[in-house]
Amino acid sequence: MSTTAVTVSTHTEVRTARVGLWPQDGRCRLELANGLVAPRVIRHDATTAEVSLVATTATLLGGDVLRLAVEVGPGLRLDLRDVAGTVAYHGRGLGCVVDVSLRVHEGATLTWAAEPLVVADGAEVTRQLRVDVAEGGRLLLRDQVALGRSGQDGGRLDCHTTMTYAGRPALVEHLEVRSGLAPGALGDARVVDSVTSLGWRPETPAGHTAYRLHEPGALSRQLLTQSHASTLPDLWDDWTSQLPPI
Amino acid sequence: MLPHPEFAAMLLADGRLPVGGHTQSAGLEPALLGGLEPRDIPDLITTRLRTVVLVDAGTAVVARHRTMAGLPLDDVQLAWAARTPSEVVRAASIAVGRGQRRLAQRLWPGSAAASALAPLRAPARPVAVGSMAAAAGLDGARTARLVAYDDVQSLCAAALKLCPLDPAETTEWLLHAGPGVEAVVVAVAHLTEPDGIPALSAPLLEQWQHAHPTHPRRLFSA
Amino acid sequence: MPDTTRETSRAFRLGVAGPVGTGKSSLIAMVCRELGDELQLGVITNDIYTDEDARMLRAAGVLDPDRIRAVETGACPHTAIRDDVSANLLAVEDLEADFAPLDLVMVESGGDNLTATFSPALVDAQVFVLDVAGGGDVVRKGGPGISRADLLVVNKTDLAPYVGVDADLMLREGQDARDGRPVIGLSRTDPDSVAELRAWVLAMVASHRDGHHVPVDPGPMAPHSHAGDGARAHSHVHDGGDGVHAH
Repeated sequence: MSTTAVTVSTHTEVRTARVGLWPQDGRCRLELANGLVAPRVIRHDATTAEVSLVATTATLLGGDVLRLAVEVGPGLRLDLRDVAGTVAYHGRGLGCVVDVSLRVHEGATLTWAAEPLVVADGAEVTRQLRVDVAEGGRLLLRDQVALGRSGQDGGRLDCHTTMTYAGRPALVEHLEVRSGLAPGALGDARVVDSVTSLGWRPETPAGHTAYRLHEPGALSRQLLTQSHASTLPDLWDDWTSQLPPI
Repeated sequence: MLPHPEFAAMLLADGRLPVGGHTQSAGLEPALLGGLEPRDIPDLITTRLRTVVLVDAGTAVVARHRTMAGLPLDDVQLAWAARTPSEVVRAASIAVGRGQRRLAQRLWPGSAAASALAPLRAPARPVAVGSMAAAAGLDGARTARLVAYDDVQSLCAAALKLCPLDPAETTEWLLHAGPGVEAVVVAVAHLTEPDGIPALSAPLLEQWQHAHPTHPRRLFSA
Repeated sequence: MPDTTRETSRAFRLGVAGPVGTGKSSLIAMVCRELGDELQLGVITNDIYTDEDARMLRAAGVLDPDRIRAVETGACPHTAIRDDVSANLLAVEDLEADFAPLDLVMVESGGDNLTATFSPALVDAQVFVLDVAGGGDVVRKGGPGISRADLLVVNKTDLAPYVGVDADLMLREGQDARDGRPVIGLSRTDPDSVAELRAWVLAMVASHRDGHHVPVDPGPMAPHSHAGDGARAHSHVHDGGDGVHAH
């Protein structure tokens, strides 16, 4: 395996940004903590909450570790969104890490329409995405990664994704994103746009393609030269509307 | 008595092994229908060896280890399935996996491989190959080399049906894939746990293969 | 379900081979039309390109389209019915499992040449199809299918006057080449010939059901001896213990 060795500075304390939604006394309680991103509550009622993630710094520089842990308690629904995309800048020899963990408990729902992670020239990013959906839980996730700001070739990104459903592996992938890969990997694409459902398998509307995962779940992915060409926003809306109410 | 490991490896690597392999092109026909230029075929081999072949070879090595240890293969199959998100790609692998299991049960009845494969509803190709490799007495390195060689060999054989080529040229591709095959061997031969199976993906290959059944005129099933 | 225990739902498996354009698909459509009411049927096609024949058969409306499945042969139609029957065998077994119990599964070979015959590991009996338009001398050229298939069909006899072929002579030569094995001169405009084909298929299905039918391998190119050898060779397949070839 050709995993790139990434040097990460360890002198700064890594704070984990957290969003937790837990049942309490017939209502639900939000647990929030700031890290390199800060959660802001948009809406919060008896069983659901909507939270947006705001960057607290110029975001990802060499040596940065962006750590985010999200957990949705049994029977509740959390809708997460980003205020803006994230840019990983030239690391001046240092790599950076995005480490995200999502846990969805029994009967809970998590949706997250993530904005793009853009890997600028000279950036070396390792992204760890760990997703655990308990039996009867549901996830809907949009995930966009892009090579380079305009006019750039872009740096190097390694996405390590492990998703489990009911404790069983559902989607495990090491996706390499960089220029110059041999034919069959990304082609001319600079953008990899994906929507994943896990714990449920929505109907795929006409004009879209989705893989049926071995576990209940689906993955629709587009490889694009321009992110605005993506039709996944339509798919996102369609799949979101298929989520049963809590 | 076990055959000599070199002999066993040759037997299992024979392109004429009756497991249905001749019905598939190792992703080449889907790639050509998807727009791959024939001149890029050797580079496609490189991509496969770095990604999907690594997954399959790792799966086979772990299946071999599990079979030798008398352990069930379910979690190996699950680990493979989680690394193979397209149901079309999984089905193509399973089609040959079933043929492979049939042959394993015929050649080595009563073996650990026969009993490990029996309870699976439909084994993936690398799971069946790995288990069969255990029955044939192949070590982990030979098992990985078998999977990688077979993938390149299938692609080269299919290329002759799909493109105007001198057969000597595709044989040359196969020869030149040697170092890439050995890199696969080095990466996976030692594996014993399903979680350790590599997961490198080739998204475009996957899209081409997923679209294959929708093409009206095709020679190969995958 | 593992692939090893489907004995209860095993159909009579009939191969249909012969050169391109001789009317294999039409013959299968004819059997479907004639016997679809009394037998549970399934069809597997092997095409050069994917599913041309399967689509033609589905379009003919003679059988539930789900009971017609195509197998890709990787441009090796001969291999797929003889040297490596895995893909066809799985397709037959899946069909038998999905529509159990089936009485008859017909496997159509991809149109190949005079040398292509089915392996006994895939079918219980086979029909070899020629047509008068291919020329009166085809039968004399011979080949394992012509000499030793369970049934030789000389198709499109109604066209004989138009292509300058003596159909009766072709049939007589066929009989001479086949040591008494059956030959049918078939035309869809000749109800007697259709009835003859119908009766032959029904008799084979009944014989298979009673356990009387012993598959005979026409063998590869080199002609050797008679039915006894083929039957003995076939029993090897059964002794292998893979549990697929139930009776």
